[in-house]
Amino acid sequence: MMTKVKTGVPGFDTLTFGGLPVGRSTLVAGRSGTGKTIFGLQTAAHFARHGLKTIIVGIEETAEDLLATGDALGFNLSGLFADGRVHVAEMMRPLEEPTVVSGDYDLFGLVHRIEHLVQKTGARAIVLDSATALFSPRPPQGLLRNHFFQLVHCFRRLGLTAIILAEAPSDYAQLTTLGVEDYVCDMVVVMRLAMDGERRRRSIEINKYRRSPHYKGEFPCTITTKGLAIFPLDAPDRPDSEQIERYSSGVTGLDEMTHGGFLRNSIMLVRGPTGSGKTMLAGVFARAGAMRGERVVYYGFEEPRPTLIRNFDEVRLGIGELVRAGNFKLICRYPEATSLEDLLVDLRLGLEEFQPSLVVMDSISSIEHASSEKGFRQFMIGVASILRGHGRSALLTQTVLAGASADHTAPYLSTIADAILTLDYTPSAYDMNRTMRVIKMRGSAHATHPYRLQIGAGGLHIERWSAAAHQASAEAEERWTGARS
Amino acid sequence: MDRRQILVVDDYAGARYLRSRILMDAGYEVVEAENGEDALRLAATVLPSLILLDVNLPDISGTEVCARLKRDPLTAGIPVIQITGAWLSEEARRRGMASGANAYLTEPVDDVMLLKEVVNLLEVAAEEK
Amino acid sequence: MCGYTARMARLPGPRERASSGTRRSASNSVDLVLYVSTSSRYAQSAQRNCRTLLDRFDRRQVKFEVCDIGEHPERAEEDSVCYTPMLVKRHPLPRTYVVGDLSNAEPLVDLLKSCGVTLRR
Repeated sequence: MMTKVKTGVPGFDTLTFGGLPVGRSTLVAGRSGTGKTIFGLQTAAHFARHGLKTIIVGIEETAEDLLATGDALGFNLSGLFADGRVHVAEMMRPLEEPTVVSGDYDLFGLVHRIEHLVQKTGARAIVLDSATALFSPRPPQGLLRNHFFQLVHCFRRLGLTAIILAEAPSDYAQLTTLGVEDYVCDMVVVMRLAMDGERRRRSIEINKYRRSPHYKGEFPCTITTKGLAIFPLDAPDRPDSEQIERYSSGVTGLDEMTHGGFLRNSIMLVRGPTGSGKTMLAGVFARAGAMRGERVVYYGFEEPRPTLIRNFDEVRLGIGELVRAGNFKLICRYPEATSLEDLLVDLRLGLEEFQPSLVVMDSISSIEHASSEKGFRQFMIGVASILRGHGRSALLTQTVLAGASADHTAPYLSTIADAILTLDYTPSAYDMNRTMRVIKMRGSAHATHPYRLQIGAGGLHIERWSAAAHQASAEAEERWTGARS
Repeated sequence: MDRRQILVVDDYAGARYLRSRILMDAGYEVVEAENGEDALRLAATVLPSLILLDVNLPDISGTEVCARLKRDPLTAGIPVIQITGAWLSEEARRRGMASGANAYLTEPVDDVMLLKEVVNLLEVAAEEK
Repeated sequence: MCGYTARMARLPGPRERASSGTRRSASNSVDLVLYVSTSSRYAQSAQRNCRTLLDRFDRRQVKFEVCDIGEHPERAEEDSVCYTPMLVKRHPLPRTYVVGDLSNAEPLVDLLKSCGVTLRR
């Protein structure tokens, strides 16, 4: 079993089951602007802070530029450089100085210099930024393969844990401009940046990891104030023991429906059409938590804040007071106005800052409508990871068309949600017959037939229906669906 | 003794692959070993016409492997090219030179230079017969 | 973020030729260093080609040395040598770099002529 070293990039060490292979080369490929340099510098800083002296080799950049970039990202490379824990080397002359090609050549110059540098500094790791800059102008393919191999072989001989950055011509075609990484590098990481309208969606993929298991596929990542961060589905710091602790939903009758209340550390999805009571349910849920003394965050994406507070006031939930008390935070945002990436960052930072144990998002459909299918999927995976990573309990609302609540949920949402509640309504002569049903509840038995939901003073009220009432409701529902089709 | 077989010893698969390919393109057959024990065993059983020996091996050092090959009358006559690092200490280098290899190449090793050395040594060995 | 731009090899243009001509030093000597790696297959041919080319010119006007970067890595560091073989014109300014084994004679010949080095005989 090979030895690995952690990069300190959140999420990356999970995807790779422990980090980079020690003494081997890892290729990090991606188009311009995908975050390769950040990955390289961030890892270098982490290595340096943990006693692994690292050389950062800039081919086109000056040492000052590299240090400045690192400092701007908050890695304190200048400090590490001053301490001698990081060595920054510029390898090429400035572009202004004239250079002419007179025949064939190889990279032995660079190889000798790196050997000399490693001997002098005792470095154990190296970041090369970038192989592409080194091979420009590009030599013929056979020669290029040779040169690249010489470089990697040099790193291997010197026992260096190497990160080689390379520019990819496109996101999904032939990985690198070099085409030689397959037998030469032990790990290949691909970074991508897709534009979804005006929004940026970054992702990272462990394309290959020789002799080691790894997560397959693309994972969303983002650039935070602390550098690059990745959101794998199973966050590393998820509490291992699945606590079976339950807490009250705050809705009379609902605790009965769920056979004891909601489960801690679970994510609940509440689906229903507009007007079915989702927001009300979310409000009651949040309130109950706050009343218990928990820290609660309610993210509203549908209504402006004053409207939301007024709606809650109508059923006398007293949200305003809870906000003033300090352990209830109400945040209203417009998903159309921000990129998903920024929203995820805000979420993460906000949660880290406030440390709530209960989170409400009302509704994720607003976000869904403001993005592409793929973007939304990646966003939800990222959200789930943030929530799970801190053992939080969450309630997410989702708007669907009336009568469509029982429809099949998108597979990834089903995976994310530990429990799914559906709300629906059928209009009757006098009133709206609101119903609620528990579709799924991981880890618990639950009632399967629908309950009746009423909205009134004090919030929501749920009760079992009598058989007769149930019958009447079923008929009404049939008529309702029949009338609409 | 097979005149066309070369034993390539290196614990790094990438190096073995590339060196093997160069030699095979030049018409030789190649046998590979990734550690000292395998190298000694294969040298004695296959009796290649030349051995390419990297100094850094996981079990026994390349220098020690070379010394053993030269001590064993069965394998002593097989020319050995030892590949060594340039940054080794003077002492290590001297020790390496004393192991009895027929030629020494220092990293970085140029493929064409390697081939020249191989051809050279094989010619010399042929003449000595 | 750092951008990546392709480095294009180019001959010194007429303007530069003229200026390096006017900056001719009193001794009129051109200072050349050929960096080689003795491990490299190009080391021998580069030296051979270089000497053959230089022989066509008045050697009194040229100061030439070969530097083995394996032996002197710190000098390779000074001139930022990555590729070998590489010839550097240290004097007169501007510093110019010729990368390759000099199988193509033109770059060096042009360089010498632009510095005003006269042909032999």
